[in-house]
Amino acid sequence: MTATRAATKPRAPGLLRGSWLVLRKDLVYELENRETLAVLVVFSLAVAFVFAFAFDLSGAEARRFLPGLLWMTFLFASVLGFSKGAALERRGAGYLGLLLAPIPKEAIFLGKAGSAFAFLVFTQLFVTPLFLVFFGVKVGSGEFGLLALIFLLGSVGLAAVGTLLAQICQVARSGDVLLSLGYFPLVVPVLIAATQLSSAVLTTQSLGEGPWLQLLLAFDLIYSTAGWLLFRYLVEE
Amino acid sequence: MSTPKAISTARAEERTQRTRSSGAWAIALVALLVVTSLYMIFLYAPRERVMGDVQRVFYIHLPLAWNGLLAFAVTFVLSILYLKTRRAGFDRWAAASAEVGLLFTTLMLLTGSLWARAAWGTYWTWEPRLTTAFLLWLMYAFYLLLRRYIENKDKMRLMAAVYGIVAFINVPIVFMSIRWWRTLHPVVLKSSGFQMEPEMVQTLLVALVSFTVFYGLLLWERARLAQVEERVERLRERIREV
Repeated sequence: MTATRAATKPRAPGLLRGSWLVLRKDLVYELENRETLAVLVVFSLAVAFVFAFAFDLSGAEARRFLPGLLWMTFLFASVLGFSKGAALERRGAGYLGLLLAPIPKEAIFLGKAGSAFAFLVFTQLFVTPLFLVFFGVKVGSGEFGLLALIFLLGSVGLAAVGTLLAQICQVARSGDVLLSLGYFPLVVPVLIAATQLSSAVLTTQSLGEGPWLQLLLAFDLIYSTAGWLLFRYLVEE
Repeated sequence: MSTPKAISTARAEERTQRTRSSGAWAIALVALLVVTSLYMIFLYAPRERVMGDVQRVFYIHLPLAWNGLLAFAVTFVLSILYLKTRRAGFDRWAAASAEVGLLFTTLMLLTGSLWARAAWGTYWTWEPRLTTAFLLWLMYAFYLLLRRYIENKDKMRLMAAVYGIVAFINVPIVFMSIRWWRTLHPVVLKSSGFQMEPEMVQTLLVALVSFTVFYGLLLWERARLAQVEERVERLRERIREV
């Protein structure tokens, strides 16, 4: 009897499967409700509107300022995404469910960072063509590939830092306000590297000469590792 | 009826007094060091030929910068120790060090700004060291804010420790990235290097030692104060229970 029970007892998911389950949970929820996506879309449109009037850009000027505008939008949108994600988990005791789930704590970090990454990529896919049209900048397919690489690498760093920080801030009073205060100083290197690279692509059709790609990679690696090692202290009960 | 409470209150008082008296000679030492440094800075060190008396800010500015960074490094190490051992003492000292570090960084930015106005002709420039100092200020202001915004003490200590680690890791990355960012742009302002007279080096060293001891004293007093605060909080809770 005990032998059969042991045999039929479901095995706890490992790291990869656990991460995938957390990620899938967020994505499925999003596809059902489209709460975060709606916020991100409306926010991006509003920001484009504000920028259009604040800077009144066109021609070569637009090409020069576009990387900064894009990354500012990504940064602010990502804060919205992170606080939205944390709020969802707070509501209906989602965190308790995650903590009780028989998955490694690292899987929660990977899954959450994965879904944050997905939202960021979605934002970039939506915002970039929109801004290109609004500000009248033309981009070739080669440039587009390079930009995609930069955006993906930048998003990894933002997602790692944001996931860690959202977890820190969600136990605090007015955590959403705190989140942006702690998040911006930490991701300054990503902002610098990504805007430099994007500018180089838009002006010279190459990644430029600076060490920016290496910096971006190093940042991704360092903060993914930090998140990986430190996240379990944040989800103790 | 209230005897045990009275005894514990008396014991707490006695312990507080012991802290205060042990600080007296330390305060005397720091006072002596600070007065000596002030003497050396304003009277002993020679007047700098190019910049004049404004250069004397440097003897205060550099020790502040060095101790600010030291303070955050201490917070970093103590945060790791807290995560490993979970002893509240480590967290208390980590927080105290961050607070003193923020004070020093604030003063460092102010003194640097005054010096820059005279030497570079501007209060502020987005130069690597300045920008890194500014970001340090932002990060550790956040660290201290975070501690006030989390009610659950155990949670607060954990969250603060993790941020204390993550923030310090960022320091070299930020510094390098801003340095690269700047060198790729034309450098408009350069700090004009000046020759250091032996008296200048001596003054700088004395000021450096004084400020480091001063940092130690402030750290000690702040951590002790935090301990007393916690004790008062505990006593208050006990009174509420009675």
